Amino acid sequence: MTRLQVGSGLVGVLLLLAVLAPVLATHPPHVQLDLDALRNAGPSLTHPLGTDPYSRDLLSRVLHGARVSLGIAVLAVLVAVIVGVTVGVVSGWAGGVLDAVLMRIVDAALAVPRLFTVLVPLALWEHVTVPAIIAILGGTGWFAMSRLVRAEVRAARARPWVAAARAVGVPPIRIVARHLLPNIAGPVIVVATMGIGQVVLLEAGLSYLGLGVPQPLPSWGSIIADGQPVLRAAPWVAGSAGLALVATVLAFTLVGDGLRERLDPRAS
Amino acid sequence: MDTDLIRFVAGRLLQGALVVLGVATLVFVLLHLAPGDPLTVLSDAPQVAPEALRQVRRDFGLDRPIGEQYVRYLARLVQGDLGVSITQHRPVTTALAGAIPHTLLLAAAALLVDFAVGIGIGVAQGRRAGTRTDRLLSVVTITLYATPVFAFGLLLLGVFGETLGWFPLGGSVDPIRHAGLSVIGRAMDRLHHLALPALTLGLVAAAYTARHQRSALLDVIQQDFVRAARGRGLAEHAVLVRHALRNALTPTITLAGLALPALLSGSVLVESVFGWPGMGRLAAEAIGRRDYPIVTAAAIFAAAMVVVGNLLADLAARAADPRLRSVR
Repeated sequence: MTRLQVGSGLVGVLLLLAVLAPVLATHPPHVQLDLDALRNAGPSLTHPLGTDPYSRDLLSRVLHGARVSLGIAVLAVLVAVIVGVTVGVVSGWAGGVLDAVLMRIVDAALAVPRLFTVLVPLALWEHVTVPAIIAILGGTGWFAMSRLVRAEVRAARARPWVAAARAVGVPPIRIVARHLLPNIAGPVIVVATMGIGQVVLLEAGLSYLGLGVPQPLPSWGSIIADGQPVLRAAPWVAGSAGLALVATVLAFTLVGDGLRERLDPRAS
Repeated sequence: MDTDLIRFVAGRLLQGALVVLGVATLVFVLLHLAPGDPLTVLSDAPQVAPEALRQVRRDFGLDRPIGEQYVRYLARLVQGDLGVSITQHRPVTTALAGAIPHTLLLAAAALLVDFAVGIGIGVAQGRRAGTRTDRLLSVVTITLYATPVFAFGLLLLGVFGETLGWFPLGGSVDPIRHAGLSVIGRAMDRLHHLALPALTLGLVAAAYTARHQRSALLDVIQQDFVRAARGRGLAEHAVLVRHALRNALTPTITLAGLALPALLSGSVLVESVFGWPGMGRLAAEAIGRRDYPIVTAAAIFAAAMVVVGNLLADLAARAADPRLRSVR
């Protein structure tokens, strides 16, 4: 089996679990079942992954966590793709001063670790909601994408078929939409796929610090934080969410790697 | 010292100062765009007299026009006055002075682990590309690459700290025994506390370095001068170390400077896992508690470290590759 097959299989399973979470979960994810008798319970038939320190069913939390983590990641990457492709096309097509200014901004932003750029707006936001998290994660994820798109647009712009289209009076927007974008779809999809894995990691980190998804929404990062004080007594709490995270990021990285190999066999 | 190098460093430091000024301005603007000021929370409390609030606002200069506040803020920054922490009731500079050395120690140790392990694995893979060992190591590095650094930290903490008891569970020194130890004892105590956080941060970063090093070595091995060295009948070891590796290390060395900011961002999470009293934990806590003077200082520190890291990366690249020395 190739990496692409393993990765896409895993991604498919994860997406299915996320979509079906309300059906598959045996309990509502934030209901505290029995604070006296059912805290940090080990895996059993009624609670296949056990319960957490707040007496909530862990399987249900991890399943709903997939919904939250993957949902945020996919939407944030969608935002990043839209912004990145727009900036890249504008920069590459316009050239000149606008291009120079935009690309200097992108250079500066790329030099800063993403966690820092994410933490500054988070620190200043009063109440962080899920749409705000998506906006922040998406708004800090488009820099590399815009560079890539810009380079492709600049290269394509010099090609004879684009010159021909311009010569016969095809409006630029149409040239971009019909001729350029289909040509750069491949690399954009690769970067976006890798991006989903990165955003899942980032959101988990933020939620672990208590700065991400607000409680009691289950996020894999906050489940790990819940499990930290009972690491020894109930390792399944942090462990199950940790494994879910690794599997997810691995899946998207494998698909991204595999797709890149497909598109450019020399790059492996 | 050649003047080219001095001019290069001076130019970059000037640029860096502008970047730091930009970040300081950005944080100031973002802070003032947000509704209210640090005292808004208090105005909801009935026991605080409006007159007292006005007095505090006057004392902190919060009633001045925004332009004047900005100029004062910059003037204080330049003088090294970062204000007083709202939650810790001590000067921000004092808090930073306590935290920054811890973070730099952790980052340096992690960088060592990162490069020793990353280059080692990458070279081991690159020289026998396509074999079972290579594939196995690829699985290891890609899994580690996909592992959240804080989850990996908790795993190490759970196994080597809590279960086996080989390492302490957190902090940077033993709070009770440390003061009474000899100089060597203190150093050992610190290393003992440093081990798990540095391994956590370093090994996760090493996964990336190894992937990078593997492909860099593969690139070089396919080139003509390596084939020529082999053709001259040199031993495989000499070909690898003296010819291939020397060139394949250049891109990795460039990574070192860039790894510094990346390790610092990772330390935000790792320090929280291990209760390591550095900048990362200070910043994470300050963000949670809306301690704006500390948040501002942490952002400026992060910007400065990014500038320094990039400068180090360029200097390392120039040292490793003479062709870059004419580039300003």
